[in-house]
Amino acid sequence: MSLIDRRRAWLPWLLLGLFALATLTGPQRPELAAWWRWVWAGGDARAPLEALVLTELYLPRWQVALLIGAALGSAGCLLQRLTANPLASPGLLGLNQGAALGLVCLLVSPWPFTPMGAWLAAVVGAAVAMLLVFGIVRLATGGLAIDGLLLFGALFGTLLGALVTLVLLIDQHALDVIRFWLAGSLAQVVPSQIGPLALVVIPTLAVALLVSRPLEILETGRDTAASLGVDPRLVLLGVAALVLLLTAAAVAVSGPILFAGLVVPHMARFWLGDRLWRQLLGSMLLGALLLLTADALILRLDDQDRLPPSLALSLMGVPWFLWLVRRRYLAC
Amino acid sequence: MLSAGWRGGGYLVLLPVTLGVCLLNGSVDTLGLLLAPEQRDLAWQLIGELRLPRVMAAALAGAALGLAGLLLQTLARNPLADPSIIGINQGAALAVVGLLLALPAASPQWFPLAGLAGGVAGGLLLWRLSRGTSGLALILMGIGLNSLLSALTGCLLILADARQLAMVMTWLAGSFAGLEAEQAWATLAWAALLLPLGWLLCQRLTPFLLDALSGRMLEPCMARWESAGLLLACGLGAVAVATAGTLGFVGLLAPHLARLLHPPRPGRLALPTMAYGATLTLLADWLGRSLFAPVQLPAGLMLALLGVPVFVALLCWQQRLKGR
Repeated sequence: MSLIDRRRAWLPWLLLGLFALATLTGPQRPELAAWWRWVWAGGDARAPLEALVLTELYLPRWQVALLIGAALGSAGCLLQRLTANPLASPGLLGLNQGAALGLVCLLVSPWPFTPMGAWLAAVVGAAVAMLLVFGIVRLATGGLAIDGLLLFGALFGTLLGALVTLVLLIDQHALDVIRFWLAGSLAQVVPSQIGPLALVVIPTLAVALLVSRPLEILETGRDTAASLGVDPRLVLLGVAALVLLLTAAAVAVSGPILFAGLVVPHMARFWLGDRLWRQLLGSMLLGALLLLTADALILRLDDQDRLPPSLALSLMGVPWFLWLVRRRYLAC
Repeated sequence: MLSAGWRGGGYLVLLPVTLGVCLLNGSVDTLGLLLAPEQRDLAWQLIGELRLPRVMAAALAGAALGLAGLLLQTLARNPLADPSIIGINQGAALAVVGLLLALPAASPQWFPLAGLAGGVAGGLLLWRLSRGTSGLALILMGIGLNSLLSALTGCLLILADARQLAMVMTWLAGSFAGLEAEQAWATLAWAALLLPLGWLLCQRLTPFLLDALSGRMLEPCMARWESAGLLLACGLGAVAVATAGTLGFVGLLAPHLARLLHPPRPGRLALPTMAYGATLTLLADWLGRSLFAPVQLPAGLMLALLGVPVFVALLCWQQRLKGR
């Protein structure tokens, strides 16, 4: 059996086609032909403006979109498999808001706001949110049932969001710095952020692929896993740490982008199948493509680049979410 | 142990006391001015022109949200329903922001109508979608719909020009700070129409405490009462949103507070629920304006900070009861 079912191979091509269409028909489309002539001529002469637009404006943005999409998609996939529920996603469990709170706290604290510091603050904030949500659900219900997780995640998301607003209202200076970031936009990304982001995301994704086998064993049950030599607690902690790292890396750069983590794993399951490593791989690729396409579409709609790509993702993700909830609870 | 009469009438004492505190307490010590005879006119002017519209609007918005919460919780037979959770508030907010940006000259009297349209659209959509599903599905779908509607509102805000932005932002966070007297009177007019209607409707809703089948035996036209109640809840939520932006958690907490102290019949709960909703909102507004005194925190923010822990405790308690 080949990696890709032939009948379902159209999904990524559809996304790529949409991306190409949106990019190439836009009012500020990159002049590919001019860029290609420049590269063909050796690329060492003084670059024409069209080539500079492509390399300085479009390429960094595309790279960031690819990295963040892959991170969010695979974080959603891991979280859905970890909690054994198709409704889980980092945004809905309050992790994004926790990361945002961490960043805002760093911003108003006397420490310098460096990319590494921002990432650390986001990791700490997301970890606190995750501990809070999972801990309280565990304490309250004695298990990790998904409806409890979603409910408490949304509640603590509201609470953390209110705290962010509180800090920002008291410190007006921070609001000016962070306003665009809070909407979850790729417009504010600078090329110097790409290096650290790739340094975090790519090794974490590789580890996630490696860890997919123990996690799959764990899905068969704790006792079975233990008898097969897999420590359940270790796997749980490891996967939770991976989810935190990926979410925090993405949120620290682009702000909270909701619903990528919810939709992408379902598309990946449809595309590549049910095995965890296939779904994870598909989530990475499709997440990257999806965010790229959403960003290009939004840029096409609003050529002043003010709307965030999360708008396109929400428009697509929310009906999906509603349908999933309805299907899941209709029987009861 | 509190006696039954004290428990049942507590809100009759609590609300006037809160009203008095909110009217008299503030950046200027009005009580001192009132006691000094030569400055009494100034004090009355201060209270009547600055504090009265704000306090009145806060009390009415809180009462409207509390009653909307009671109606929704009774109709959905779901103790977690609340206008801010099931998309009414966000839908109304989206409609009002859209109106503000499309017609910047629109007078505040039209806000409740626009809010009503948006709130009814949001509420009905969710009501349709959640029909036949369990209570939790309503809440989960509401969370999803809310995030979509707030994303859309956020996009409208990004497209707005900067002059309107500041006004809309404070309004959206659920603040009474920028309230004008004209707006407060509009709220009073709408509330004077809708609150008594809600009280009357609550008298007919007792059969909804039973399961659907037994309820229908007692009350043949339950479907009609259901749609009337849903519409009225949307209207009440829209009035509150048009006054003060999105205030969460009042509609959730006020009916629960009332239920702790009163018999659980909707007809008997309506008045205490309104009183507790008003008290909560007044307290939140008062705390928000006096905690970090030069900075005015929106009442909606204070309600979220106070409401989430209470809601979480409530959920934990309920799960305990179910024995899960």
